Amino acid sequence: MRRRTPARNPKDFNNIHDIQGRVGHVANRMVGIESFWRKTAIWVTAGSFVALIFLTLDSMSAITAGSKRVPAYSVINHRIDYVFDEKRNFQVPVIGVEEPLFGKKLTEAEAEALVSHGKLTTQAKNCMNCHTLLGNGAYYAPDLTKAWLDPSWGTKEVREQEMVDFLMNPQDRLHNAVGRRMPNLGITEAEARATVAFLKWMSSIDTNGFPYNFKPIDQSDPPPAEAPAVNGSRFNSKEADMATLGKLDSANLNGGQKLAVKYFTVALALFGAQILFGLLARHSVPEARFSLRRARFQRQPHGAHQRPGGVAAVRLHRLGVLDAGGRIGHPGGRAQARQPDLLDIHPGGGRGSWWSTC
Amino acid sequence: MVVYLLIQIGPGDHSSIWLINEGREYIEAPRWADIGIVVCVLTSSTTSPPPSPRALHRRRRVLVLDLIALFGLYLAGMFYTPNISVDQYWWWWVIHLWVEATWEVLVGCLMAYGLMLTLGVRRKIVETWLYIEVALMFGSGILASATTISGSARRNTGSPSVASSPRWNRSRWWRWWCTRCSIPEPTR
Repeated sequence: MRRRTPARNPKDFNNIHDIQGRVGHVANRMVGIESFWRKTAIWVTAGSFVALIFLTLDSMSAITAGSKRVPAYSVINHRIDYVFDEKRNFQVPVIGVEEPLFGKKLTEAEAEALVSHGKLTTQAKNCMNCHTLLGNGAYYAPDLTKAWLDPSWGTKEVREQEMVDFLMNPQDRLHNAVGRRMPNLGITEAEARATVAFLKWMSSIDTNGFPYNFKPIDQSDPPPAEAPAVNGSRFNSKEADMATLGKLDSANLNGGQKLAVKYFTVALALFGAQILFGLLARHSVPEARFSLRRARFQRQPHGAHQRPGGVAAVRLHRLGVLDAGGRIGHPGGRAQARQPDLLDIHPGGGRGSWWSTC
Repeated sequence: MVVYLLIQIGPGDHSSIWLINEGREYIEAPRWADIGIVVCVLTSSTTSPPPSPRALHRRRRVLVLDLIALFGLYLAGMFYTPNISVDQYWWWWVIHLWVEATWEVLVGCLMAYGLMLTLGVRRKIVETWLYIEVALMFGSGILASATTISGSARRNTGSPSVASSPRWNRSRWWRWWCTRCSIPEPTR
C-alpha cells in the first residue's frame, strides 16, 4: 500500500540524509504504483485473453470446411467463379454447375484426401517462401488465393493441364510481367494434380473480396472467340488500372499512398501515446520528476556528482569494470596504479561539503 | 543448417513436415525441431521452481509465468490440417502471442535483471516498469491478434463479421478497419 511522508520544501536539501530521505520517499510511492501496475498487468492480460477465446470460438465455427464461407472439399467438382456482388460491394466466389476437376467426380473423402495432398505439397515445397496464400507469406511471387482463376492459364479447357505442366516444369516459362521465373522443385505429376485441386478449393473460400479488382478467367459456356495470350498477364493491364482510377476512395489508393497513410497514422498514434504516457508518469510520480531535475546539481553519495559517468560509474567501479576515474579498468595494471590519486580520497571542500557530514 | 539445405526437396507428404520443414512462414521448423523447442522451454521453466511462491521474487514469477506461456502458445502451431483457413488462424496465434509477446517479456525480464546488476536500480522500480511492460506487451499482443484475426486474416480466411448500419455496411467497415490494421500487402 501507498505510504505517505510529508512533502518537504526542496530548499531543505542540504546533505546526503535529506537526499536519501527524499529518494526513500520516492521509493515508497513506487511501492503503491507497483501494486497498481501489477494488478493492471494481470487484468489487461486476462481480459484480452478472454476476448480472444470468444473470438476464437466464433471464428472456428465460421472457418470449418463445409461452412458457408469455407466450402467442403467436394466443391472442386463444381465450377468456381469470382463475381462482383452489388450488395457486398466486392467480388465473391460463386459455386456454379458441376465441372469435375480432371473430368473425374470425387466423393467428399476423396476430395479431402486430394486437397490435403496438395496442401502438404505446398508446405513441403515451401511455396510461402515466395508466394502469398490468402495474402499470407512472402511478396516475391504472385498471390495464389485465386490462382485457379488466373487468366494467364488461357482458356478453361486447357487450364488444368497448363497448371500441371507449369508446376512440373516452370523454369523455362516467364511467369509474369515482372520477369521472374519459378525454379523447378521436382514436383511429381500426382503432386501437381493435387496442388491444382488445393488451389481450386482455395479459390472457393469467401475472402471478403480479397484480392480486389481481380479479373478472373473466362469460364462462360460458349468458348471465347479468341483466347487471351498466355503471357499477357494482369500485372501489365493498364486498362484495369485506368478503369479503377475513376473511383477515388481509400481502397483505391496505390501501395505507396496506402503505406504513407498507414505509417502516418501509426506515427501519430505512437506520438499521442507517448504524450499520454508521459503525462501519466508525471502525474503519478511528481517527486521523480523533481529529483530528475535537481539530482544532477545535488551532491550524490560517493562523490558520484564529481565523476564522469556519475552513479553508474561508481557502481561499475565497485563491480571492478571501471577504475576510479570512470575509465575501463585494467585488472592489475593501470587501474591499480592509479588508485592512490583518487579524487574522492580527499576531496576537500570543508564546511558545507558533503564530506563534512560523514 | 543441414535441414535448411534440404528445403523444397522433400516429397509432398507428412515425412517432409516432420523431418525437413513445415513450409509455414516464420514457423518453418520441422516438427522434430518443434518438439525440441517445447521440451527445452518446458525443461527450463520447470527445473528452476521456487522453494515456495512467497519466496519467489515477482520478477522471477513473471519470468516463470512467461516461460509457461512460451511452452503453451507454441503448441498452437504444432498440428496439421488440410483447411488453410484454420491453419492460418492458429498461425496468427503463434506469431502474435508466442513470437511477439512472450519472447519480448522474456527479454524484458533479462533486461530488468541486468539493470539491477549493473546500475543497482531498486527492485521496486524495476518491477513496476516490468509490470507496465507486461501490461502493454500482453495487452497489445493479444489485442493485435484479435485485430489481425478479425481484420486482415478475417478478411482473408473468410470469417464473418459484425453487422452495422446500411450505409456503413459490414464489408465497408471491415475494409476500412483492414486497410488500417493489416500488414502491408501487395495490391494486384
